[in-house]
Amino acid sequence: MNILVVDDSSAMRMMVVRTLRQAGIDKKNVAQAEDGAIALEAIRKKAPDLVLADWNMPNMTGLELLEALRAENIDVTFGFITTESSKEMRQKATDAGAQFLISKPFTLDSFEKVLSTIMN
Amino acid sequence: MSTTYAIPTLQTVSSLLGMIFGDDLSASGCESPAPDGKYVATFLSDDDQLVALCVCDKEFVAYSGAALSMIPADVAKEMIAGNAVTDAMVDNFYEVMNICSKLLMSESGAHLRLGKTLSPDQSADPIAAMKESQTAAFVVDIPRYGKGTLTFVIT
Repeated sequence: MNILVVDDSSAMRMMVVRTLRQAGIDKKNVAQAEDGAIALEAIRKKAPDLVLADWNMPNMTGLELLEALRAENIDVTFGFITTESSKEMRQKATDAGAQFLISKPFTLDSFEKVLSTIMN
Repeated sequence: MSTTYAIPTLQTVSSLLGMIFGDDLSASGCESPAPDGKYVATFLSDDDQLVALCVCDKEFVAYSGAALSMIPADVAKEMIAGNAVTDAMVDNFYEVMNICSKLLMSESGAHLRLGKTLSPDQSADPIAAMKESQTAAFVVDIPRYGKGTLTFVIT
């Protein structure tokens, strides 16, 4: 499974990659982008199996990235990893076409649950 | 929706920061220290009004920033001793504060988001703007790093 991790914080990207590795995902299958605009360009070139994106980022937010992908009919599996976990934000994510939302701070367990659902 | 924000408690602070830095994190409540010379995170309402701050000493910024990237504790201690917290640590502090925004929100309360993190020489104005607000201060011992202080200031 190829995964794109999108977050403007390099430390957070590192934590996500580390947690994915603990969940059994090989590091070489994980690419990174530091905002939505960079991620959009990368996905247009080669869509991953899964995008894990922060919500609040400069240049293009995670929500704007998701909306841009769906507008271009790029139907990649998309989940948010974000502090924005209110009912309202979860609804916005779902309405835009996100499959899941993992709340920061996250646990290995939360990743494993999501990954097993996607893989199955 | 309510326009009020949650007041962080010892339990919510310990629980949230423990999820980031490890279950063996310990915290205690304390008197709010003087804000001079501290780093500040600003939190904004959905209509971009300043509604909360988190005022942190350089120890918390250095230790939390180093712990997030697994930088050795000795490096963080050198930064503190030299009064020279690096940009990378401040970037990591921003992410810690982003997560801490959750401490100020409840399901029934108002939404806010992290605005900026400010270095001590930039923090006077927001501190002055919020001087009549309520505070909640904590000493946090980040496992394998050390103790730092953070004070939430909430409208």
